[in-house]
Amino acid sequence: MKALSLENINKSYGRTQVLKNFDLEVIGGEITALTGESGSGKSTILRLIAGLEELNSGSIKLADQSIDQISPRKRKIGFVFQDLALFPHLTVKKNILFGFHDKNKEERLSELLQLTDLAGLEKRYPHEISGGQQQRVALARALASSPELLLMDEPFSSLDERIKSKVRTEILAIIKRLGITTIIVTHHPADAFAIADKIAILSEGKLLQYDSPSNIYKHPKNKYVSELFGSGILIPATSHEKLVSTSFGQFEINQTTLSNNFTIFIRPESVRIMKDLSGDINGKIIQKSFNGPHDLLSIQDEKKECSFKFETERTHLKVGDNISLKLDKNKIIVFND
Amino acid sequence: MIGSFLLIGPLAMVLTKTVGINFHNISTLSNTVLPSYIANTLWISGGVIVLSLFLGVSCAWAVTMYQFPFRKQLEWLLILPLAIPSFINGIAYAGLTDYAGPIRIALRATPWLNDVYIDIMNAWGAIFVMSLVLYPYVYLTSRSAFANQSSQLLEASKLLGASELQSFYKVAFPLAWPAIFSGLSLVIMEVLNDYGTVKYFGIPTFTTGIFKSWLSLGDMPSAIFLAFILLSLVVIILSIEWWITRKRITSNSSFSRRIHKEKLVGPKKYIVLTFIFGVLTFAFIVPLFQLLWWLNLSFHNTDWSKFLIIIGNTLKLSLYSSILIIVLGVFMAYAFRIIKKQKLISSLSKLSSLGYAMPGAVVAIGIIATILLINSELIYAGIYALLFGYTVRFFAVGYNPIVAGFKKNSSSLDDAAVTLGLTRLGSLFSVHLPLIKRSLLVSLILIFVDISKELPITLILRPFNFNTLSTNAYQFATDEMAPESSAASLFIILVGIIPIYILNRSMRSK
Repeated sequence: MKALSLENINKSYGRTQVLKNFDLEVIGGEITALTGESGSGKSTILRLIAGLEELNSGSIKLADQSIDQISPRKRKIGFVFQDLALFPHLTVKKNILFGFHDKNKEERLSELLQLTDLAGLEKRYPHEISGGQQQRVALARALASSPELLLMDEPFSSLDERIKSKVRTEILAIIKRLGITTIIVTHHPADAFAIADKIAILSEGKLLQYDSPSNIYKHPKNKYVSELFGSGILIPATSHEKLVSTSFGQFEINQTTLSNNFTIFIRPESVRIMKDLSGDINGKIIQKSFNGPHDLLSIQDEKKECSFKFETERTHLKVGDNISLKLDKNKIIVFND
Repeated sequence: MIGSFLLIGPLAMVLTKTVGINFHNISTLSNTVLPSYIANTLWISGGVIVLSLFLGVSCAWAVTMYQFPFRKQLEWLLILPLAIPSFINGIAYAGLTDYAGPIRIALRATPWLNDVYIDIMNAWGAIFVMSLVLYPYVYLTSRSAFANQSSQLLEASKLLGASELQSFYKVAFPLAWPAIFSGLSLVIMEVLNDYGTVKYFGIPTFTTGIFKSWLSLGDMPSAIFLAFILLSLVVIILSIEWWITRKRITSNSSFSRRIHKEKLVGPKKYIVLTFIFGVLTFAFIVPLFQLLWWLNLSFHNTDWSKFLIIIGNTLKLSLYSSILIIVLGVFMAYAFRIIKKQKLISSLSKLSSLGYAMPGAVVAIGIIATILLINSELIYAGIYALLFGYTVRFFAVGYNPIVAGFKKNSSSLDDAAVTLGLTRLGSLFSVHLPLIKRSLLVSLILIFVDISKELPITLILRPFNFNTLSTNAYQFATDEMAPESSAASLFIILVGIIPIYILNRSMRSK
């Protein structure tokens, strides 16, 4: 069921157009991650949905009802800010109940404290609790009035790497338990992969791809998306019918290409290193670097005109060795230039 | 350290002399004038607190949160009333509302209002004229507090259902309160320091009591006792300020967005503009025009050669005091820099700066008491006492820019100077002083402006027939020659605008 829809959204700040004819539909109960580089318009989308910014044109609907004319305080949207925006002069309890005006305050507080595992901290001030606890207070406050939609703007960016993964898991578990429709802005693709049911990738105010994490990994729509999520080999190529020519060698593929000049892309798990130089492409290792459980090889063509990076399992190959790679033709993706 | 003890000497003298006062003096004071001193001081302080809090906070909120025509200009114009000493504002408003003043003339000419008489020479009037020139302290501190608040806190409050008014009193105001209170405590100290306004308006307070006890009755024990109570009030306020600012909670966020100013349209725009223009008109334009009108009337009667002598006196006193303060300040700041004992430095710096919080009358009585120890036949205190009084009172004004100047010089400069063979003193003169030239100039300007405005210390400690700009303005006004006071008053306002410009620029750059 469609919970939120953004239709033909345009937003400019002065002469800078941040969002251009932007459309997005979010399914109820799903967690959607908005990701992209800085300035791509991710946070602006959240602020428009919350009503903190005004639309230039377009429409936003929550449960099929337009919310364009509704003031932010009446939209029933929970918002977790990048810096959490906890009121430093109020206790945890007062922060959580700030926007909750029903009679059963104590009951609701105890529910939320239990949900977010904050029981016993209600009399503390934000600066007296840990970063992870602050995160959960911000979440509890946003959830207090049972919003229809939860928006989170870079919620994990203020946490240090050590506790980030733990807090991310805890927050995700709470959101999943409640089944609330959530949009999370993050510029870390790894965060998006870890938490989202769907990922929306933005660049320069446009939606590049909106799909499940596995589909995005397997079928990235362009070079930018392919590089954003995981590593892979990118090689410029030309073709004649099904025969593909690269500076690393020629091979046949099972699909027809749309243009003469294009780039082929393949994930490392679809590539095998051949010992007898019988692979589809050949080159020389010009650099080898340690990359945790993997080695990262830079491979150059014979004419020394082109090179690509290839992530492989730990290998005994060394700089100067010639290498041959066998490609799984069914997994090759073609990006028309 | 000797410098610090010298600077707190007069205050210590008030404390030690209080111990020796006999019960009879206290009992006489308590049965006669003390209740009215307490009541009037508290009533005027309370009134000024409420009015300047309202004016300062509302103007600061408007210029920080909204976008409206002339906002940028009004933002700094609202500080200008600070250039008008409250007693000059009092003289101007008294002139405006008295029998021959333009308001009364206008009322007389209006048939149904010709019986209306606006009497400003009372506690209500004092509250009004003082608040109009003191609200900028609250305005400045609250403006900076509101501007530095994370806009996300206000957005969070809005998204959690709070209206604009609720966001203000539930979030923005409590968070800004420590900063607002530091502005408010300056207001209170200025009210407690005031002598000119309350004396001119005929309201007995602690300061007028100290003056009466010493200058009219020669009753030193009573003056000391009243000074002690005033001193205690200031200590209480400083303690409250310390307690409030100690608990200051900030939302230090690296993600904070600048507050997005809401563009005002329709009636709201006109209400805000009318309010701010109204404040500026009553606090600055009206008294300024009254003084300019008086200058026009008295221009030919003014003895300009005498006026030049008065400017010369003020300049000389300012220059001598500045040199004294700057030399003492430079050596103290440099000594503290070398000693590197942070706790000791901070305590001694605070002690030395205490004089600025103390009412001028208390400082003056402390100095008189000290001189009386040496010469019990004292008739008048003299120029050295006056310079000492100014140094005690305005040390902090000159010292703070010097410390700020020294802080900008990296400690590696000292190390480099030592490795290049310079002595500590050589390093001070060849390295530091050329680098803090600007700070020294700022100190000089600030001290000059404060001394031009200073009234209570000058009135108590000045030699006979010796006038500064402020005593000249005050003297003419009390001699029922208000128009003749305008030249000195306008000069004080004119020079008072210079530090406001400096202050505004430094706050903007921060």
